[in-house]
Amino acid sequence: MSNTIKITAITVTFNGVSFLENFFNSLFATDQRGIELEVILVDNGSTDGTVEWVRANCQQVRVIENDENNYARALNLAIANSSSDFVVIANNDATVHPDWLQGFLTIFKRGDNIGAVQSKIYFSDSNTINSVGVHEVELFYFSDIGFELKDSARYSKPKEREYVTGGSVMFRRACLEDVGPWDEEFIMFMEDVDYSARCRERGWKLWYSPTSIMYHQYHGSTSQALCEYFCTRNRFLFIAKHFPLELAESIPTSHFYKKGELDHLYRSLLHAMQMMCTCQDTATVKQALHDLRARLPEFLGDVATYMLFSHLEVLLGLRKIRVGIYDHAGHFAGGGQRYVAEMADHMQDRYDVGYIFNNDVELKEYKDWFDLNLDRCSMKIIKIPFFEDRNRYTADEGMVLGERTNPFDIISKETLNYDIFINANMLGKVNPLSAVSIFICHFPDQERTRFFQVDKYDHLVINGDYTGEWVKRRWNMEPTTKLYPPVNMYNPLSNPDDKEKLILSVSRFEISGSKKQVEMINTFAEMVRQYPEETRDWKLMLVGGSTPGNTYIADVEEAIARAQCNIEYKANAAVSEIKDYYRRAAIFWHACGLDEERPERVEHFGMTTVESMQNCCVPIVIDGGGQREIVEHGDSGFRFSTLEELKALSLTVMGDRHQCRRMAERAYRRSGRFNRKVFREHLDMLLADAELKLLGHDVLPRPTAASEAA
Amino acid sequence: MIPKRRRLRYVKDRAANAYWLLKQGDFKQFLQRLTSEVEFQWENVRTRINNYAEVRSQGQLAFDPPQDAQKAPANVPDLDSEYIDRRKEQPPSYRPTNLKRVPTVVMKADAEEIKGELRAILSSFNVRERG
Repeated sequence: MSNTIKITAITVTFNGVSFLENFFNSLFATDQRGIELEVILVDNGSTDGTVEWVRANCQQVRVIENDENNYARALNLAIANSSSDFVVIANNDATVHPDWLQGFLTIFKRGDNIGAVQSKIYFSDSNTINSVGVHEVELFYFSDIGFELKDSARYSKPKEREYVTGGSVMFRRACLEDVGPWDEEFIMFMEDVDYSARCRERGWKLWYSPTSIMYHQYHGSTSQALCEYFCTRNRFLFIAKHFPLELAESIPTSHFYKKGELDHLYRSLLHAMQMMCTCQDTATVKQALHDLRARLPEFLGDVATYMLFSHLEVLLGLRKIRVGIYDHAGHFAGGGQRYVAEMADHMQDRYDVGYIFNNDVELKEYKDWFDLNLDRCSMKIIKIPFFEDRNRYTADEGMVLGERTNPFDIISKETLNYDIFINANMLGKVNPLSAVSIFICHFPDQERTRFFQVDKYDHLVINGDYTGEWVKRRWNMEPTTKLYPPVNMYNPLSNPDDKEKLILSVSRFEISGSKKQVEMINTFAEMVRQYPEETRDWKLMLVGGSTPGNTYIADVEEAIARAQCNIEYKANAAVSEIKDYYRRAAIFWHACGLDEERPERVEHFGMTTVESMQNCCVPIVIDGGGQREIVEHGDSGFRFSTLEELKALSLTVMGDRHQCRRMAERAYRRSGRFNRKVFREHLDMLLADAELKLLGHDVLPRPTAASEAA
Repeated sequence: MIPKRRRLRYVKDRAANAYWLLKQGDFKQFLQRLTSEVEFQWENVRTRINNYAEVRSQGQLAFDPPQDAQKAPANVPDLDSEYIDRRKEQPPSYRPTNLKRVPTVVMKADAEEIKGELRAILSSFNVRERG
């Protein structure tokens, strides 16, 4: 036994069960005199029953299950799990000649410095050559030697090669240990060319053996498109590793560039540049980057070239991710501003967060408005000349109609300075030039007009299903993420058992009357007149923000005077006061959207409804807009369509203390879906996705049931 | 984006726009935008006629494009790059791979020097820097 040579045969498969029987039959029929053969099959996540078939039918084959569909990783796993003198790697969409193994060993006997030997590979059932080695044909494109030529005497002698193919090749264990693991960044294709180059760099010789013969079904297990993608991508990786100063010159001859697949070109170059920095010395990297700076704008344009270098900084971990938040209305304390300020607060320690405003504002004001400390965020103010010239304080994209150039290009250019750009307040004419972009839509007020850019964003975030529905109808777009506004009005003193006979409404006193306070006053007055017993001691309290000179306040006062019952209103109450009203109120009313036909006049979400629910009020709200998502009718509150229904539902709750209590408890539980904690958890998922796009590396997708069926 | 697709999308956007304005009964806005669109298109036609006349008068009108004109993607100006315009339009099946987070790489090159080099490269572009 001491003269026996131990050989491990490794084959990697992915959904290749149909090939395995012939392959293994031919492998076990080889001449194994003086050989102790071990066979390992690495499965890359097949879903066609490969593993089960092999375990049932080929018990002498050791199966290793790879957790990723990565050919190079599969080889590393198998090599690490073997200890033989030689390792032979073979495609399994093939059969081998009985002399296949002995043919390798004959060549290895020629010298200890021979690290690897490749077979003569024919196309299956023919004498047409598939490969007798690999050589560079031009500009880092590699081809099989003898490809598609009839076999002839010229291929009948052993020869030294520069590169060998991984389709059928035997390695000396000492060579594998000296050179190290296969580069898993390649995933598949050209990993053999890279390994050949590394073997030669370490002084190993590569040979071709004409007596070791394989019959191969060309691309029997991989699609042509996948092959082309990986060959083109990996060509850049190969150049970055072995010939970095040729990287810039290799771009115009790449298939990605020739076919206009610039997204692939961008990504491949980015990872090639990253690889270059991991394996080349400083001087070489600097020279290569300098060359790329000179040549890239010719192929990608200035903007994308800038993006690429900036992206590389992040990928190499040389700086924090920069997030830019643009809010053209950031000088107002509105719900949209609070929404994005919560985002900024959550992100400011992890990223380098910068606000972009059009108007003078201080971030410290956000502390007063929303009780959020944005000290770690920076800000800059960019005035837009188009609106400055027209004396418009706030940018209004509706004014941009027939202009030849987009006035928001000035903001667009600024987005280049960020890795993630967040368009916080629905300004749909800003073209994002950051590597990742997020458009937050509270409601699609504007239809698609000239310079509409929303479909250029990676993520279209909506605040609820109502907005999502109108995004689809108005913009014909599919939102990518639903992120409910963060509502945090919890008060430990609120208790469903400790409520007063108080109906509360919290809404701005809009000049247009869209929040329907007058209608609510009239309804309450009617209830008191019609049901004096049931409404005894009940009070209606209207709270909300207002602006100086608001004419609607006079309408409210007049309606209260007319009603002659227990109704009160308070404009611009302090937060502490509002909290106290929520604590005391048993019922919450919200009527914005009543009798409205225009979708933008209906409450898109309804933060105050959630606030009331967090304080154990029973919400009785309009059956429309975002309220439908918040309140489950008959469970965590009631929804009404007419003022008659509002009256009837309110009387039901007022007259049944137990139902009121149960409903308040359910409303409280329901409100947990819309709180700050949930908001931040969902925001983290969105940011993880953004980071993946910025910092992720290629992996082959796992097949799904649907794609398998297709 | 190739010019033909860009034109088609432009027309589609304008039509969608007009449809919504009409559906909402906003005739005033509709007429205002129609007028501005006609003016815009007329201005384009005039510009093209003028350019054509100018080139022709200088005898530079070449009907045969260079042989390799269509082989490479057009080099397009700032803010309108081929890459920028097309990157969000690919169908999900366009990318044959998914992405996966990997640990930050260890650089053989000196990180500080490369950082400085990248800063220098970025500052050599004619784009606004972060203030």
